[in-house]
Amino acid sequence: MAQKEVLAMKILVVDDEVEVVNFLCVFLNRLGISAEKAICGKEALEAFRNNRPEWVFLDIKMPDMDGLEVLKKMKEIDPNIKAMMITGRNDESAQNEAQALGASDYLMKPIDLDNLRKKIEQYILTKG
Amino acid sequence: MKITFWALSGLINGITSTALGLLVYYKNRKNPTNITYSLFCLSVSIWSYSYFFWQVSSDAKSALFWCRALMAGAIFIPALYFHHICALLNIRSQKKKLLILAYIFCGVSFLFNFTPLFVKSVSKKLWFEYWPDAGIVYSPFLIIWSLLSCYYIYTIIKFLNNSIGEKKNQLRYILVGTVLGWFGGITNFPLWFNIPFPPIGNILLSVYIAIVAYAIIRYRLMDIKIAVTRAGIFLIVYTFVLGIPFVILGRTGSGLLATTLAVIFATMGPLIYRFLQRKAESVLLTQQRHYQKILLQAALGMVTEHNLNKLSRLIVYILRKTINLNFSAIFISDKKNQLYKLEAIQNRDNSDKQDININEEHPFIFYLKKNREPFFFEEMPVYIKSSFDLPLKPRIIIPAFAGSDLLAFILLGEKSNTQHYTEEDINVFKILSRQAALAIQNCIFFEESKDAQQRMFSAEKLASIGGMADGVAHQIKNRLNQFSMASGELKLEIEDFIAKHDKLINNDQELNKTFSYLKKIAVSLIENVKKTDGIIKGILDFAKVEKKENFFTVFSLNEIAGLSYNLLMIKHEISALPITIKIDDKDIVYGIKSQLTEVVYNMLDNAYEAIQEKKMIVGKKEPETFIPSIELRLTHTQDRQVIKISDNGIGIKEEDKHKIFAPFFTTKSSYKSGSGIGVYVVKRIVEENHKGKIWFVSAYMKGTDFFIELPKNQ
Repeated sequence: MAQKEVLAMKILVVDDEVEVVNFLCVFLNRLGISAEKAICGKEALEAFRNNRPEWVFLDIKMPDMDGLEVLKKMKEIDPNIKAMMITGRNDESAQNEAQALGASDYLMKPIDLDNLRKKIEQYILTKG
Repeated sequence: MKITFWALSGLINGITSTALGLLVYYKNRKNPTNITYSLFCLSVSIWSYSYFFWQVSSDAKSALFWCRALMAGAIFIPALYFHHICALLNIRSQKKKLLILAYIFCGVSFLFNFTPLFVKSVSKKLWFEYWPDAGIVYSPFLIIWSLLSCYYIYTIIKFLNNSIGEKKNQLRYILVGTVLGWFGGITNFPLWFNIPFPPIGNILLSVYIAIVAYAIIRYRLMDIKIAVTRAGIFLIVYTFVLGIPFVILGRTGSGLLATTLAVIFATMGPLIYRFLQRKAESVLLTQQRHYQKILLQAALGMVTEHNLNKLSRLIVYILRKTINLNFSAIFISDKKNQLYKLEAIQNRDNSDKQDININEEHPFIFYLKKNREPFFFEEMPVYIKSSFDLPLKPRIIIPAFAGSDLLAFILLGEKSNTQHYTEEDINVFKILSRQAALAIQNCIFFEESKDAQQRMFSAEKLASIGGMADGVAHQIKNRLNQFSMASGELKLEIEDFIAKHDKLINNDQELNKTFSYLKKIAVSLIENVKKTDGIIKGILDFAKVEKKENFFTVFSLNEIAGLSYNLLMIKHEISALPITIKIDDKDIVYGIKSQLTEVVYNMLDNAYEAIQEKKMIVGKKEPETFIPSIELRLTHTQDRQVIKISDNGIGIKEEDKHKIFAPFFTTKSSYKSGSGIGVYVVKRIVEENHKGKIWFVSAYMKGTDFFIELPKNQ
């Protein structure tokens, strides 16, 4: 549907599960958003430095580096970076911490694509 | 004044009767048995002291005076003794007329005693200087006097034959004493009638009085067979031991030999006596010793038993069997309810155990605590005996103590051969009671520690499972995330494709059907992911129970029951459930609505599974006999609300009861769902989030009642 009006918008998707990253990217592309993948914290920071995306979808629980830590480093590089955290349901404290660090919102696992689309429409597409 | 053996016998009798008369009187001043015995002793004393003064009289006049004084005492002896026997046998009212007659006879005789018609004079007989001569009325007096004595001996024998146990033993003593005294007493009379027979038996009066005193003061009498045997052996042994040296002395005239022999025999005497005594008693008490030995062995074995009820049954069984009792029973302390409960009973007709309880405050219990040792029922004070309102008539009571704690007591009935209990029996019971107390304590400790172990085990299990559930749930969640996105992606792809090629698809019916089917599958996948996620959420939420006071509201039970009802119909693919809802007062429940919905849902789900399972067992054979029913009931008290969920399903097996609230415990057959988390979650919701209580009553194949008690909004 919206994939034709490609936005000058880049989103970095970070999750340690390759399939999840792939699905998310396909989904974003479908919405006409260009997406870049990273499957660990280190890779994410590298991609972030190189390509400077406006948004980052960031999994909190990752093996090498905590998503919160990644966000902290990104904020140091670019305080305007907007983040959507991906989280399990039960770590309320992590959610609060993410909010304190300046994350815009969070996605609950298991990610419901309908729900995600609504969020993307709310935050990204409306902004134009 | 010359003190002869005869004078001395009088003095000894006098002192004995005075002393024992006073002793018995002061033992129990209110008991007619004791009073009459003391009066009897008084008359014996008057006789005996006068006897002494008569024997030491130096002239005929004073001898005659003391003879009459002596008779003044003697006249009353049979009447007072008869009175005493009547009191002892508790037949005073029956023998009232006879007693009055006896006293009239004594009174008349007493009056005659002031005249020469009774004691005429004194004269020299055998080696006695002043022996009395009988007056005219003396012979008829003596005849009636003797008849009266015969009558009470007869009365004692009659009662002896009809009595049992300790009473029988007591009467045996009384009889032996009475007969001894009687024979001793009458040796005084031949000389009155100039028959040359000396009063050699007079000293036996002391023995007589002593035996009777012993029999009425002490309840625990030595077995008379033993007493007589001991006395007999003692007499024989010492006659020989002391007699032989005298004979040797008389025959040989050798003082040295006699003295040597006397020393040797005197040393050996006690040894021989004890040896013979032991031999004789082992023969006499074979049967008793036998069961005492068995009891002691059994007592030692008791400690190996760890189940209190089994132990109780074992104790009463052994006691009844080995002693051959008509019944034996054991009461065990129930501290929680502050009473002693009949735990086990054995009786001849094997009748069922009744529920008999004795309150801790009962005077009988106080007496037990004060007394501490085994005792005879009859030994208790009258007010306790009369307050003892059990349908059992015990003869012996054996308390079992641990420190100052009365753990239990045992009641023993009659020995079936009507034998009495002996002091030795009591000693065996003492040991038995100590062993029983140990064994009971052991059982209590064992059961308590078993409980504690079980509690520890389940707490540990909970903790480890809680931790594990968290990890497992997280893993599942990650997989689920992929499912979620894959199915979401699938749906989007299909939708996109349909949107792009709508003409193509709409024109081709088959293609249209296929695509709408594919989309349906994708939607179903997404739905399933959501449901699964709900379950995981449940596990994780209850693995980390959070406080949610903020969500407490008031709502309707009917409403959440309806919700659960619909869910259950969907879950089990059925169109109706046999549920009735009863609201006793107001349809108001205070709590966390979502959680209590889960509670009601889970409980109804379990109830349904229970009736289904019973249907599978019962229903196959006779489907019409089982009408399944589930009841949900709400009652209110002042500050509590109770939700009761009852079913008449399969019930819970005894061995499963303690596991019901454990996580991941399930009895549900695996083809149906049954994570084993339901009741566990319910318990945590009720106890941790609502500060309520949950419990159940269940019988296998009969059904289960779950009770959920929640505090009201204060």
